[in-house]
Amino acid sequence: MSDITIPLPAAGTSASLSRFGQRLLRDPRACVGGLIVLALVLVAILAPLLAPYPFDEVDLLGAWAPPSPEHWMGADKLGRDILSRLLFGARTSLIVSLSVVAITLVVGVTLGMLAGYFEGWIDTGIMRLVDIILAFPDMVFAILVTAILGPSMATVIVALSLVWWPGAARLTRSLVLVQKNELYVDAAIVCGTPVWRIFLRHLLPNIVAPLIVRASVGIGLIIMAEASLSLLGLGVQEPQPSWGSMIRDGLEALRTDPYLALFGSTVLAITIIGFNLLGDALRDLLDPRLGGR
Amino acid sequence: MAPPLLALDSVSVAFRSERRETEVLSRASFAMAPGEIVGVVGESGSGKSVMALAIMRLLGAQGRVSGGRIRFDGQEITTLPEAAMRAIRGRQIGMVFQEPMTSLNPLFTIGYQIAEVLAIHLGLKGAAAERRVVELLAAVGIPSPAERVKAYPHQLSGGMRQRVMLAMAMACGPKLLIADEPTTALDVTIQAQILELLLRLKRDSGTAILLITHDMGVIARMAERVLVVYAGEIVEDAPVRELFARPGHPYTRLLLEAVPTPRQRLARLPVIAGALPPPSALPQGCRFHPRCPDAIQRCRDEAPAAFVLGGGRSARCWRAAELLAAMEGVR
Amino acid sequence: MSAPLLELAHVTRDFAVPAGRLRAVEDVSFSLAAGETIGVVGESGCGKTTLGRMILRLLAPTAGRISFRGEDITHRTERALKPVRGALQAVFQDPVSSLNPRLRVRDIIGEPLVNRGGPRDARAERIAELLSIVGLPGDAGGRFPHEFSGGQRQRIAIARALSVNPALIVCDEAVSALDLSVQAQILNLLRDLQTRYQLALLFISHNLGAVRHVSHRVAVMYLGRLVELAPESELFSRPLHPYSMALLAAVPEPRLDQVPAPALAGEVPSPLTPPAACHFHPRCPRAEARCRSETPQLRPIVGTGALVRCHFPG
Repeated sequence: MSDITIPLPAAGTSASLSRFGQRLLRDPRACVGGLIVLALVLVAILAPLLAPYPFDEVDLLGAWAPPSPEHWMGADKLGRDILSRLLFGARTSLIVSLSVVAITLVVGVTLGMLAGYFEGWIDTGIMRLVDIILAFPDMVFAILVTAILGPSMATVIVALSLVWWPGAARLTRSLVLVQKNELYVDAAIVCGTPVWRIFLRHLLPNIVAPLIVRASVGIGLIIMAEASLSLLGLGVQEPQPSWGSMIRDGLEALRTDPYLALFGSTVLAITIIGFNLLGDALRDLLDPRLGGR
Repeated sequence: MAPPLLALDSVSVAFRSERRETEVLSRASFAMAPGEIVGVVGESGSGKSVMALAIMRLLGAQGRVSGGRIRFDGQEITTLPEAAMRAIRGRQIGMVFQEPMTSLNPLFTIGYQIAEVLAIHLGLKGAAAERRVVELLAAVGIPSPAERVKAYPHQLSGGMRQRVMLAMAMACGPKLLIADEPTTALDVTIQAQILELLLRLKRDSGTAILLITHDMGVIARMAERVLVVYAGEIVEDAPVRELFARPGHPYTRLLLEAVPTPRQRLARLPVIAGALPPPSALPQGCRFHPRCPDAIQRCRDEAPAAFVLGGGRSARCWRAAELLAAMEGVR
Repeated sequence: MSAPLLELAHVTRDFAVPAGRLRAVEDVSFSLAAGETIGVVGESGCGKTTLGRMILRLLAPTAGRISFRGEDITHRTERALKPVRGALQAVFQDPVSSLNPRLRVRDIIGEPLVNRGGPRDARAERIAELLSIVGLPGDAGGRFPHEFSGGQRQRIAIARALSVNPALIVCDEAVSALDLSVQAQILNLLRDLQTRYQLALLFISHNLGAVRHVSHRVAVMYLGRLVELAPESELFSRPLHPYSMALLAAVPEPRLDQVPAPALAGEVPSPLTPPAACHFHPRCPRAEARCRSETPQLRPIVGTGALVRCHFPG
């Protein structure tokens, strides 16, 4: 079989990281998606500097103003500058999505590793819990939780984390089920390596690729979910801007003053597309390459 | 003298990866007579499998024959249109690979898969095809062939699957059978059975066999003539008796010595220093010289041609004739 | 006579599979002295890999006892095995998957050292020493496994096994995935290490030539049972069990003056439904009624150093 090897690069290459970086840059999806994500992050961080107006500056006389030199994207129902609110809204989206991803990864990956490595009753217990949560339609569950806890950014984070961790756990478990049969895990056991170190040094680094892909696509979905919750009034409360609540407000006045809805949904769409493109590019680049190593 | 069944004339094969094209087989030339068993021996990465794939035109999108010509049964097949090549593949040339599990479709019965070959190439269908399938299974030594026709590949052992592959390869009575490491994945007692089977098939049908292996023992057992491949080149071409009695190329000699056999326990196994060079980093001059105990300056400077040594043999070595003569002197 | 390093007594291992019970290893007993190498040979389904995994306590036997250095390790938990782990090491078959692709070579080799504890510079020194013992360049430590060839990766695996001065190394098909010229290098290395460090080896392989080169005694397994155990010089010149004879006869020699014996007929039966009494009787040229009804026991043969499980040996 190896008689037909396509020639390998010469020895001496360091960690595949820099080579991987080069390939990433060559993929147009990664470039476009990456730029969008980067723009989002910069905007979120620099919002106070970039925004022409504070997000809560009200000007009732200028309500629903169309785009003009003073308000590049127009104004909303309270005369607040749409552009500024969108910029600050990016913060909400980013904070919520990053928090949810962080929590779900920590919780989901840990439980998934325990289930996959030990199997037996630990596996059964965790997977039944996963099945129960996954049986609920995502948004219904999230709405339930926010309704119980009362709407706020923290509630949204908690609700979305509860909805999302089972998927991460299930993915991790199936990855671990495969990896633990690899000979290097046997070798580690024979070396006397304790279980926690096997998890951290051996299993985790070798399952991280699909998890990264899942996370990058997931961020886009979480932003969407947060926007949906805000659209329903269950997310961050006024005057904190959120893209979802802005779109909701904009939809009410769609026929007469479409700009809020228009700009709000465009920004949301571009962001989701950006994360999806980046996730696609990462998936194609990471899985076969690192899987083949 | 009968015209050769298969003749390779200076065939080179290159593979494309990323932005480069690398030659993995260089100027391979040999001829095979009808009904002859030729063994091709070399280590993995030497290019021996590539040669077989080139003959069958199965190099894939990344590979191509970058030079030379291949003639089969009087016809040049290097540039034959794919449709014509398909008619030859399976019908005139059969091929058996190392891993029968991946060559057989797990979703269809073995009877179906053999019948498919018969239908495509011989137009055989229905009851006539069924009869022939059972005949073929019996010919390759599968017990209770009439029942086994309905078996699925996963229900068979490795040895049985390889017999099925042979049945498929021989179904249309090909003139040439290419067997690429057919027994490497099998247990040694099963390997003995399959090798016995190959010899019987050749005796009964007169098929020529191109047997590719890394095992010198298999070569000794099966081959009438041997090609030794190293780093993409055929370094020796000799009748099997000559090769074992007086290996002409230093690599052949070392290969014969370096293999541990159950026959004796040595204090130390002779070792071929170094490693097989990758096709992208071949040494200057003779490709084997960095590892060769007999290398001289000329070997480092100039790549040797394949020198004819008489007795129907040749070796790609500057010192072949000299070393052979020294060996004869010792006797 | 000093106590054996490793002792197996009637070790059996069953697996529960959907189709029933699979007896992978049955009633295997032998002992291994310090500094001795036993080669374990057999074909698919003979149980040699399962045996190796039980000795390494990656699996526990279903029945029987395994003692290492006089202590019973048959059912110890992972924690209780910790003191033994350093002395009982392994080199596995696949040099690709037995080394964690994400770790640098020095971390791979140093893992047993880290587990044992100790100062970091002592570790670094030891790693450098190990690299030189196995014939790898000094700068190999900072590289990743994929930068090395198969033979070099096995050297890395051997260095890892040596790192805490083991008494016994289980080599499970350690050279099977390597090219011929590289096999010879690794076999020579193993023999050198054996002599230098008084290592005991359990060398599991289907390659009879390789086994002969490193072993003092050889165990032949068939369908989970030990059918012959003899000194290397005796097994290869005068095998006593019909299966051992067939196995040796089947190996094609790189010589022309051989007259190949007819190949052993039939296939290895499924371990789920092994033949009654002697497992080998359906394929055995000298099987008689007794072989079908009475399971032969492993018995010493007078005048030889061999133990054979056969009613009609020799």
